[in-house]
Amino acid sequence: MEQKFDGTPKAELRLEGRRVTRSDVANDWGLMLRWVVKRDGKEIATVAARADATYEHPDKTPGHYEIELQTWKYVNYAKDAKGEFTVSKFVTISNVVKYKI
Amino acid sequence: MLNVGNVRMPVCRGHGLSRRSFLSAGTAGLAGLVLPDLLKLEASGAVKSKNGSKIRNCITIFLVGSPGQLDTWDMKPDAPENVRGKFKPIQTNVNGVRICEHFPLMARHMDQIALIRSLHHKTGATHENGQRWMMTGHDFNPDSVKPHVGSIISRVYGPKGDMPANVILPGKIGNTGAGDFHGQTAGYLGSAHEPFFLNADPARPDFKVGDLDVPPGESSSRLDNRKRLLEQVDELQRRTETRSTTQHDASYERAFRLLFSSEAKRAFAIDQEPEKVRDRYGRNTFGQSCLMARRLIESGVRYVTVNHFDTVFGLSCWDMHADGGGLNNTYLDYERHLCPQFDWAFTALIDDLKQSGLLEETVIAVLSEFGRTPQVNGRGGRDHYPAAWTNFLCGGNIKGGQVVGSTDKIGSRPNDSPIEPPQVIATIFKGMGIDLDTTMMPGPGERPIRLVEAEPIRQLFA
Repeated sequence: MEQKFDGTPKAELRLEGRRVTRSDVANDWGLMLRWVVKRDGKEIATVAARADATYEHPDKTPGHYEIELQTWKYVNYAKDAKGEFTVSKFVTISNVVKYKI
Repeated sequence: MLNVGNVRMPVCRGHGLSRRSFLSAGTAGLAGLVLPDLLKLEASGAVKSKNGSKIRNCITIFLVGSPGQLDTWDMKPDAPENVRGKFKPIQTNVNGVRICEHFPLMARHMDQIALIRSLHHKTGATHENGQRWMMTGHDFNPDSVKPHVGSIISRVYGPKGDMPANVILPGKIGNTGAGDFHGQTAGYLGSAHEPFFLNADPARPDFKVGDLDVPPGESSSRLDNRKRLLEQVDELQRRTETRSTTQHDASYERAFRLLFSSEAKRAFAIDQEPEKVRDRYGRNTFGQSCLMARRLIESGVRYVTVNHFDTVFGLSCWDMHADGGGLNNTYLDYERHLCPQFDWAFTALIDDLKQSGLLEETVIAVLSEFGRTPQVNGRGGRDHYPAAWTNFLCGGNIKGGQVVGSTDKIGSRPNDSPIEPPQVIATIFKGMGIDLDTTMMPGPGERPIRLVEAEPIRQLFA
């Protein structure tokens, strides 16, 4: 049976200081959820986000920070020679919150 | 007293079963006690159906393909790198019990779960062998195909109301590599006790159960007429009735009852669930099947099996060979897809059943075919390994927050308390409240036999 993932997941992020809080995910596919942290436009960390709805990135290096929520989008399990997925991928499902240190 | 199905037989004090009651039991078995008989007996008050309905329910989640014990629930962080794998353990809410980091929600429910870490079987390392062991409690015998555990429950206790006693979601197990016998049939119990296969995906927005729709061009009244005609033909047939024709009758009766049952229609109407509840299980085939399992248990189904995948080929599943071809599941599939999907739906099911008071009335059994090789293979995967693996139980009268058995330093064999599949099946029965010493069923040739030839794991009961 083909595996069905219904709807389009969506969550809302809120920022208080450096602490980001997510809403429940609507149309949650139930796959991996992760926080993606960028500093000055460059990805510096990905952190599991399923277990807790809040996250505070510990790095206080000066710069412009952005945090967003992503989920795994399964299309198929095809992988390249290095073992990386070729079609399935992480997709952003939230707004982006920003702060500056 | 001895129970053959729901029929209670007297036993001689100090001498076990009396010859008279054994003969009576044999006769009861010979009579078949198929569904219509049972209903007639119930209607006449000859069978204490209330007694049967007191047993608890069971939801089995079957992880087709089989997760590796070292990457999930029996981690060995101190083992060499090519044994311990890529994942790290996390502490659960039970002191000293650690599981894989990719089950963070399950870790918070461990006080309700009993891990069996010393499970093993001694037959060949095919998926089908493991499926048959874990779903029938028996090794394979083509001359006497053993029934699925849910079919045994159907045979012994019958249905509650219009709902079938035994349902398998979302569909039957298909190709897993080595044959067509997956342990998900009624076997020698006959067609009256075949599982009801949903054969539809409850995650689809257009989800419908095919068997519950009046076919195009047919009206309900026309079907009613056809049923009456069929009953007349059946009446003629009964003059030369055999056991198989009786079972055929029961199958028809079950199908018609389901077709016209408002109870069944309500149970399968998953779109009536609040959106937040559907989200909490995960908007995917497995998650919505777990939610459907809860709805079916609420509606009177006694035994529900959720197959997490119906094949091991060409999709993300637990069968982590990393072979670069049709069996190319890797650690990435576990991390991004399989572990989170299971963790999310399984804990939703526990919470949901607990909230509605049904967890004490429902055993949840998470089963698989075997473990995976202690050493990571040259491609970064693990292959089939029936000498050691972990499954787990919760709900019913199972005492959670404990671990049965352990394995050696590399998870290659049981270190203590070795457990074999029939013991797990016996434990499920006991968890459902069935006394295996006094409850029997008609075996091949209708001779009364135990439901499973094993003793439950005593440690799991308070």
